[in-house]
Amino acid sequence: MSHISISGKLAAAGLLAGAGLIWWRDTGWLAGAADTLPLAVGIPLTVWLGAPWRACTADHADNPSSIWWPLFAGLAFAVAWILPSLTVLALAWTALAGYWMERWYKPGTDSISLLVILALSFPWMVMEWSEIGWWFRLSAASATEGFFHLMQMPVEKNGTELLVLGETIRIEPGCAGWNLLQLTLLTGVTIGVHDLPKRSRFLLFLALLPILAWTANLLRIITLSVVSLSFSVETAEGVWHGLTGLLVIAVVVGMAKLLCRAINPSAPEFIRRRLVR
Amino acid sequence: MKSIPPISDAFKDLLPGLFLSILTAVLALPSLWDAWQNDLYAYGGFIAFLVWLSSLGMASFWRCHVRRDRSTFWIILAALLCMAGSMTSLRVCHHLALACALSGLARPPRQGWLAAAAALSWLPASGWLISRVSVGGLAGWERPTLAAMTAIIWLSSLYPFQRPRSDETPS
Repeated sequence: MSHISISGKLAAAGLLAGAGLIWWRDTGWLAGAADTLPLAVGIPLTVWLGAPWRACTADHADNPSSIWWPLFAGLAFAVAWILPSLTVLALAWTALAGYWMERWYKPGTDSISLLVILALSFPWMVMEWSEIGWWFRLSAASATEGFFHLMQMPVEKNGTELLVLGETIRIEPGCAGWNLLQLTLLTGVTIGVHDLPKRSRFLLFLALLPILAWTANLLRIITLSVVSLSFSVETAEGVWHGLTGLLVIAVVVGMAKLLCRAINPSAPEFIRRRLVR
Repeated sequence: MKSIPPISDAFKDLLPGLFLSILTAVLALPSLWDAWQNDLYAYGGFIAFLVWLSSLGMASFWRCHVRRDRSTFWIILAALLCMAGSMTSLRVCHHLALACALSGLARPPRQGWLAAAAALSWLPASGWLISRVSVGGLAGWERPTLAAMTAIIWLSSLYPFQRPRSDETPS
């Protein structure tokens, strides 16, 4: 342990404290803690995916760019704290974590990919981007309407409400997966980081990931609609509502794996080498 | 850059394990406590949990000179269960995530899966299985007894009666 510098340890402790502060700054997530708190899983996942971590012994102090980076990120963190903006806080913290990786500990994986996981480890999307949630529900309602049209079933859409065969189906934020979108994205990004070592391929995967998450949630909405039409709305709202969450996980994991395979055909070989290491 | 030495296993394994244990404890303990207090089939679960936790700690302490397997498997499983619990609203996933995270943190040598299986003694979900065969709930001694029995069997197989063999490299 002697080769690990005290400054690096202190900086790591400061980063962990900063992460705690971000979660503490706006406790609006406490109402749905079971949905949002697991996002913090991204931090231990980063530690695992970044292995083998190696301590840098080079002196970076003479590089002027390395001073401005944490200074600007620290300033953004302070301003975001006063505003308050959870999104800017999360991004500023991620930039500081990126500096920590550059300055003290180099990850064995591409650092940009790891920073995406870290940025998704805070509940900024659910807390501050509800407009996207509205679009998410509206587009899912339109797609579900299209599906029932395709099935030659009479369907009417009014906003996020669907009237199918005389039964009203409301696409609530919970059904549309908005509360869990960030968690779904985190799951997908983790698979991408694990399977795609090259940054360019990972960025392509990242660009396609929202489509994948949206498709998985659409499948959940269609499944719940079919259950409510076949049995009753009460049945669809009960344990089935939770169980279809398993469908979302399975679809996201399966599609993410297939996408990684399509983007990088040698992914299985890379994973095998990684596991052996 | 002069040299890039690899950093300690403690950073790779202990930190994620500790973090996940705290996170899953925050998620799982309120519903666990609720079940242990109010569910007829979960009575005694809290004592069983303490017994299980003690056996995990003792196993880690007794065999501290043995090089352990990496806890990666338990960490990943705990993280997946944690996310699955939120996506499905199934509390049992969070409870299992806590069991896996604590197993990963303690890094029990050998039969780590047995330690995780012994968690059935305090999991409220196992009460559902009991309710299929027995009606009327538990008296309160059954779960702690089961936890103690599994702990004795497990720990006796680990207790260092003999000197460490040459292949048990000190960590």
